[in-house]
Amino acid sequence: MDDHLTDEEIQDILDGNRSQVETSRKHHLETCDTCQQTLNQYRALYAHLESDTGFKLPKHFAKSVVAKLTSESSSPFSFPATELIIIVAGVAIALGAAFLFVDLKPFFNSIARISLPRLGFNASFMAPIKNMLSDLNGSLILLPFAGLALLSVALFDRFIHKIKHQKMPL
Amino acid sequence: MAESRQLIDRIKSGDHSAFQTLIESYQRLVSHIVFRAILNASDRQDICQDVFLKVYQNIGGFRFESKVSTWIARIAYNTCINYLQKKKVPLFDDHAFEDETLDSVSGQSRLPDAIAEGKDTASRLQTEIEALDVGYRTILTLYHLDEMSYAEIGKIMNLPEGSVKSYLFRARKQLRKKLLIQYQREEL
Repeated sequence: MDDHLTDEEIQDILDGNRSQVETSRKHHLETCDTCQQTLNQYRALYAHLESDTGFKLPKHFAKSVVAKLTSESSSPFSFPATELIIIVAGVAIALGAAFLFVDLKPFFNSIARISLPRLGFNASFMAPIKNMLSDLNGSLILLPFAGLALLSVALFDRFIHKIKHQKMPL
Repeated sequence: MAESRQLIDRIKSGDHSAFQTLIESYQRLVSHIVFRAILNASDRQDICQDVFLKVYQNIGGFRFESKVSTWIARIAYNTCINYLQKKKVPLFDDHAFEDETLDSVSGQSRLPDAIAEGKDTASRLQTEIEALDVGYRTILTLYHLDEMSYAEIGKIMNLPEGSVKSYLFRARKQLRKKLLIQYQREEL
């Protein structure tokens, strides 16, 4: 009677994998007090492991997740607004800096000279465009500042949003 | 399965009430995984919330190649693992299984049926479960609380079935041993 069932054999029996335990071993289990005691201990352990206490989420958990979702975006495939604002601000700053620090007049003149006649536009059409581009050059100092302001607002918005949703009441 | 497919299709088309239904159906499963994996109680709800937000963000790519429960459980497990990896918590650390044996204290056969009779077994067991590594805790949870098969657990945790079974057996053996040692010490 010393050849007791191993822990694995007893667990196999309790898991319903009885076929993996030989018949002679099952017979031993039925007649051995030590193995019966081990079996009972495992049974009790299984019962405790199956106890579903201590896992409760708040009653309105599902609603709060959906509310958070709604506040962030309306569709799973929508483009995040904050990212869009940051991109727009970035482009505006880049363009503003280009207009401010680089003399783009020769560049626009070349573009106008090469491209517009090919597209069928004549000189009288091109003249006001050229003038407009020339006027813009160097006078867009406000653009980068506007871009920076936009970027600051976007980052501030993100910061506030993060704080607000860091600990969402559930 | 057809119901799940309908529900998922409604969520994909932007129906938030369908998503709420999905959360209500699977929040028990997610809470089992998260609450067992994350020992810091103040982080648990936020992580559960993150899990469902990830479910929503990734639902467009769900192709019913696995059960919805398996897919959601996998997201929950991976979210917990990412959280724990940032804190450098081991997943399966065999060193946690100490060499302390019952036989070194006294004869096992003379022990009373401590686990079955013990008044505080639930709280003691909880303490011992928390002492196990997260991998063992998750396997115990998915098998005993969510009644998942070795194959499903393997898919969720990216482990072979044999490893799942082996880890499960080892964890239960360790728990029984730890509980008995506690009761035995009290008797002495």
